[in-house]
Amino acid sequence: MKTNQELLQERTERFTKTLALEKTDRTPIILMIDGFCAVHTGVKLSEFCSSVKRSSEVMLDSVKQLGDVDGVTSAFAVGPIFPMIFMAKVKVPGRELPDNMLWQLDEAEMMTPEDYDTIINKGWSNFMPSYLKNRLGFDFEGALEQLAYAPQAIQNFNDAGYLVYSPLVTITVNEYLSGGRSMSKFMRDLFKMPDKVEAALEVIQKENLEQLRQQIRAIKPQVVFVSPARGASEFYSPKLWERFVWKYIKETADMIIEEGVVCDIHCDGNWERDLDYFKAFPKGKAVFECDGATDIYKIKEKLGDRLCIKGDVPAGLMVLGTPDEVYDFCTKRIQDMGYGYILSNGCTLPANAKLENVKAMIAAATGK
Amino acid sequence: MNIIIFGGFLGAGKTSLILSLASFLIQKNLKEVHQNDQQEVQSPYLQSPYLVIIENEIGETGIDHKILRSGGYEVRELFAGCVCCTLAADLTVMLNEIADTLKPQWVIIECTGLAYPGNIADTLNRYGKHSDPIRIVTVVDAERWEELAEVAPILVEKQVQEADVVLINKIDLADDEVISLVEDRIHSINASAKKIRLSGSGMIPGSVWREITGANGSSEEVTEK
Repeated sequence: MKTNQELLQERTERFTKTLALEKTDRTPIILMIDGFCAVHTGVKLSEFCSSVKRSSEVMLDSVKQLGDVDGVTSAFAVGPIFPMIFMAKVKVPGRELPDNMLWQLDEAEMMTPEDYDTIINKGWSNFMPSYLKNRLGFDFEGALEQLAYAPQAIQNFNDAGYLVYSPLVTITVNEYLSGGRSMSKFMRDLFKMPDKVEAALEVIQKENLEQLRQQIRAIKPQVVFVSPARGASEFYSPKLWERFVWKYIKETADMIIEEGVVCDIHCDGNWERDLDYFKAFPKGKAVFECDGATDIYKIKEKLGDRLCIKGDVPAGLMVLGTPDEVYDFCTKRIQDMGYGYILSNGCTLPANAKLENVKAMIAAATGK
Repeated sequence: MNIIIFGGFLGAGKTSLILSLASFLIQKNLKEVHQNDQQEVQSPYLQSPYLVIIENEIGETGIDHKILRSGGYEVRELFAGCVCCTLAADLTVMLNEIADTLKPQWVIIECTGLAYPGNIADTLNRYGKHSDPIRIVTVVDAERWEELAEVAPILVEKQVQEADVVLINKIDLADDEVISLVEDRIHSINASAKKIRLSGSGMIPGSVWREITGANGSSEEVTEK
């Protein structure tokens, strides 16, 4: 029987080769999970969300019970700290919601057009913390204190033999404003005052990249997770997408790659129109992570010789499908995608996914 | 169980129109109950909500649940933890539970403005327990059409493409020439959809909701939002 350290080494090797599009013994499986683990282990979502430490403990317990997965995307649940990512309020179980209801983004127009000027004149780091505290009522210092546990959470997974796919997470800067202004108002801003939005984004991007570079050097992750959450081609015209989404994806990914790290681009929604743009990245240095909305066969056709592909197992299938359907779907993906594919959920595994479906997904990868 | 899915971009006015439709359906139900009482026939809908509204919008003022519940219908909230990748599955689970427990006559689903109602209908049709056809109503903001068609052309076009009925809303905020252009554009995207001009800020003629629900009634009825 292999020790946890031997398992971690084996899984890391499999994963590293997959990122580089090289031949492996089998397709790696990385689960993108959070709330599911609470349901799986019988822990109330309110307790799960009470701290970074608690969510991580529950997730590790759940993964151990699930068995032979290679790793998890994150070592703790990020839902409760969504305000730091989306600049919008979040309703949390046990606080604004019943104990067993999944957290919800509570998006509204919390940033004003005048805030663009403040960001431009005073800088993002002078605006953001007070915005989170005073406008969203978010305990920013408390969240930072909790996040100090993140390295230990990652270590705990590693000690148990599992890799943590992306210890470092960032978002493309347009999402800060889209969440803070609300999607509807942000769209209007792009139409009415694109230059001002762009000027604010440039300020945020500059500070963000510098901070991210320092984090990469401190943490030395293998992969950095970049989320252009609502940046899919289907949400923007080509002109606006290139100016307000792609530009920031490209700059961020280029910096990450320059630091010797692989960049995972979390592509929720349909990106089919713009797949050719991703040919700009060097072979084996970026991952196209998809959620089933972009045709994975088109991704494979256009980018398969250059980018690792991750995901595509639909959330709906995990909730509503049968274990046979899940097994067949995953097996087909593994066969059709070949090397350079990581079997994973399309975005987060729903909290109400069926346990037998998750086991079927794992079985498809491991052959057990 | 009749199901109507309301789609349309954020701020198009879906919530106001859903409230108006809900009011129309409740009035219709009260009339039926009254007629049944006179004939001493027990209505099956007196024991359970006649109408359930499932809200899934982000970034907008929600429906006042207390007011609606006193009117004889239920409101369920459904928000994805992330953006909208789990929406169709969660909706199906909720709808199946509603079909098993509440057994309402009508269910109105308000989709998030970033969702494609047709994709949601596909999932509901595949995994849902209902048997009646689903109707898709897409609400378009006449005043913002030009802006949104420029900013998010794929999204707004696909939302229109999938509709059985397109409600061209906020016509009080746009001039006739703009409204005609919007209507022509919508027709070029989806020629078969019924197009109806209206203003959700005022009174909605009952004929609009009869067109969507297939209900009978007098053409003079109006419903408030």
